[in-house]
This record gives sequence, structure tokens and C-alpha cells, in this order.
Amino acid sequence: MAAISINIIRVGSERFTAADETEISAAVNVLRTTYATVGITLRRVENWIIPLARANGREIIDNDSEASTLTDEWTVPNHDVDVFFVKLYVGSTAGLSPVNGPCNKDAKGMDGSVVEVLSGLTGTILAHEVGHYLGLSHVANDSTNLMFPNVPNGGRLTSAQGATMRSHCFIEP
Amino acid sequence: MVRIDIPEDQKRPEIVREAVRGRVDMFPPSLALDLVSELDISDDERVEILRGALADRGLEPHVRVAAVHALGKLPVERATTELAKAIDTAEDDEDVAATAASLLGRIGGSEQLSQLERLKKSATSDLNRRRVAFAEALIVHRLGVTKHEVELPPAQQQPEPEPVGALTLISRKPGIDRAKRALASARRAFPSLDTTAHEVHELQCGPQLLEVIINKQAIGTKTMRMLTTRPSMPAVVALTSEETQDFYAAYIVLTRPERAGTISLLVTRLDGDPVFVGKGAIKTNTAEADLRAVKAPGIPAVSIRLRVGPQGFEISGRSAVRAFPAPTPQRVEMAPG
Repeated sequence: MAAISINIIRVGSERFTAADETEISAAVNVLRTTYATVGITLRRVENWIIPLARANGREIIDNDSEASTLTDEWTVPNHDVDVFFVKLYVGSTAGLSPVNGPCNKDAKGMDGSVVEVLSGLTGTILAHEVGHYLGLSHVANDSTNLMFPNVPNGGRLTSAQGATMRSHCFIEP
Repeated sequence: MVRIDIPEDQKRPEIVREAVRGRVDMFPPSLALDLVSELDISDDERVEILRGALADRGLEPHVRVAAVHALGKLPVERATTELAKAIDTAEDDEDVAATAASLLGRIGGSEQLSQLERLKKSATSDLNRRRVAFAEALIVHRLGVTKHEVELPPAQQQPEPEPVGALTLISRKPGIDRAKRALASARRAFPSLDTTAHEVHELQCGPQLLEVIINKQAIGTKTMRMLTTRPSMPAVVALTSEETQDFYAAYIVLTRPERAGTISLLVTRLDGDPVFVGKGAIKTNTAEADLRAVKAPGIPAVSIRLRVGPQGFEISGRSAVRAFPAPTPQRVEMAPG
């Protein structure tokens, strides 16, 4: 079965509370169950931290430029999607990711996903942003679909979207 | 990108006030604060909600920082006043004060400089001290203040990219629609920027499209000498969002006069982190400047040449494909469950 692995990176790790950790665990389960519907297994989850002293203020993302910079400034040297969890993404945006993200994480440009920890919503945001990284674009006219541009949404994936995701270079056999 | 959708019937002052305190399901406090600007209430009522959040030490630190950002969305004059007050009342909450200072740097006037100077001296964290110093530098450069010493972030150049395999860059003028959207993106970051005094040039660098929003005076053969007389912020650079394809301001160009018709240039991110550094010379009817990328994680080696001459303004350069190596976060084992 096709599989994907992710690196969970907590930016400004000291600010993450026990409730945030519960939320992140639940979010990973949402991604796991959502992707399973299109034949993709979540194989490995590695945990990483960037302490406040090294986060350079990026634990709070002010704008899209800063989100992109965060993914450029840090890289986990493996073949997994880097997902940077932050406590605040200012405004109504709750996550950002490149569409069809690169597999060479040393290449220039955004090379990870940024996800805001928001109670009850983090799972859909995580699955949505990693969906972008694996090649999915927004689906503007179907609020039941995971790739609808807003959350909460129905969180569904179509078989065609599954096929797109399975063709990404980060997918393991 | 994904946005949080709050039903219209929840965008009411009484619900937003509850949400700010985390009492409304699926309505995060940080978003509630952001929505304060959209409520059908007076600016005084908005300020009252936002000040209330700032004063509430029971809220998580990032929620109070979100309240500062919401103050920054008020009309410019009111925002300036309220951000200055937020600095004065932040007490020991240095993150709140530094965030207010950063936003003031984009909209404030020279009357804010002494307050920022005091805040910089009292900052205990290096990051916050740098943020406040950059806010001060931003006001000085935006307004061309000549009699105020500022501290710009240090930057070390990378070597020139190897010609083999590098991407070449040559500027051109965008179409009207892209130019309008680029100007609007600069205005979002700097609300007092006069878009009629700026023009747009664009650069395609591999998959990335950059829009350079530049002050016409800074590239006019008869007016560009002003760069040799005072600090300036002659340009803002916008990038394209990979998801929405819209532009967002990402870099700021700052110049300072040096000796004998020369200037120094520093290109930073909006938060002040340096990205490019270089020097330029301004002569009669012509000007040239060279910039190189700084040594910092995630930034590729880039060399850029700017020219003003009889043909107008042009930007050319080369960019390496690979970025300066990024560090690895710290690995942790999490307890199961």
C-alpha cells in the first residue's frame, strides 16, 4: 500500500501545552483516517522541536512570507513531509503549503507545510496542507471535500485526488 | 492555504467577546480578535475589546499578540496611537511590546522614535531588541529622517553563484493587472505608501515571480540623487503565493548615503532579517548597484545588478538553484498516546 511519512515540528516548543499535544495527536489521526480512504497509509511520524531561543520569532507567523521563510530556514534531512506547527498564524489563514511540494528539501522555495494549532480544527488543516504538498489544489465548489479552501469542511477525498497524491515523489511503496 | 470559516451569525460583538476568552466552540480566540475589525461597532468599541484582551493575563501569550495585530488593523492614525499605548502598558510582556513596535515601524512617524529608542534599551531578549531596532530603522528610512542614528542588522555576503546551472534574471514591466495587484500588496504591508508614486518591475526567477514596487523618484535620472542625501526605502518586493497566485509583500529595500555619491543597500524581510546586501554609485543620469545574497539558512547564492540609464531601469542577475544549508530541528521522542 502507498504510504507517506511526516515530521511534526513544534516551533517555539516551550509554548506548546498538554492540550496542544492532545490536539496534535488527534490531528495526526484525522490525517491517517482521511488518507486511508484513498489507499494511503501514514507510515511514520517523527517528532521534532525548535525551542523559542532558536525560533527567531517564527512561533507566530505574521504573513505568508514568514511561513515560507520558516520552511526554508529549517529542514529535517529525510524523505518525509516537514510540517511546522505554530501557535498563531495571524488572521483567518490557518495553514500554508506549496502545491506539489519539492522532494529535495534543500531546493530554494517553500519546502514544508505550516499548520496553526486550533482546537478541533487542526486535523483538517493538517490533512489539507499535506494534501497540497502531495499535489492537490483547492476544490472551490464542494464543501464536503478536504481541499475546500475553508475549514471546517467535510474532509472527503475523491479517488482521482488519491491518484494524484500517490504519484508524488514522497510516496513510499 | 486554508482559512477558517466562521458563520456570519457568529460575527456579533457579544459572541466575539466570548470567543476571545476561548468560550465558543470552533471559534479560536486569535481569530475572534482578528474579526473585531469586521464587526459593525465603533472604533472605540473595537479598541475596548482589544485592550481588554491585552490586559487579560489569563489568555495565552500568542492570543495577546494577536490582539496587538488586530490593533494594527485600525485606521492608520488610531492604530498608531493604540500601538504606542500598547507599548506603554505592556509592562513585562516584552513580546506584546515588540510586536506593537514592529507594526509601528510600518505606519508610525518620527514622533515614535524616542519611544522605540527607550523600548530598545529596556528589551531583555536579543530578538525583541532587534525587532524594535528594525522598527526604528524602518521609520527613519520610510520618512527619510537624517538626524537619527539607527542600527541595521549585520549581514555577511555569500559568494557569487557559479554561472553553470544558475538561473538568470532580467526584469520587465508587468501588465496592468499584475502591476495593480503588486501595488495593492505593498499597500497592505505599508498603508501609507503612495501607490501613484511607485511603478512595478517584475522578475521571473525559476518558478518564483517577483514584483519590485519601486519609488519613481529613486530611478528617475533627475531625482535619484536624493538617495545620496538621506536614508530611503525605495522599494518593496512582493512574491507570488503558491496557493492563491496573489502577491504578498516579502522584502523591503533600504538605502543609506555613503561617501561621494555612493549608497549602501540592504534588502530585508518584513521582520528585518537581511536577505541581500550591496553598494551602488549614482552619477549624472546613470546609476548602478550590485547586491549579493546574505549567508543565512534557506537563502540561495544570488547576485543582482540594478541599472538606471537612458534605457530606463533594469534588474539582472543570477541565482543558484540550491539554498544555503538549513539546520535540523531537535529530535524528540513523544510518549505514546
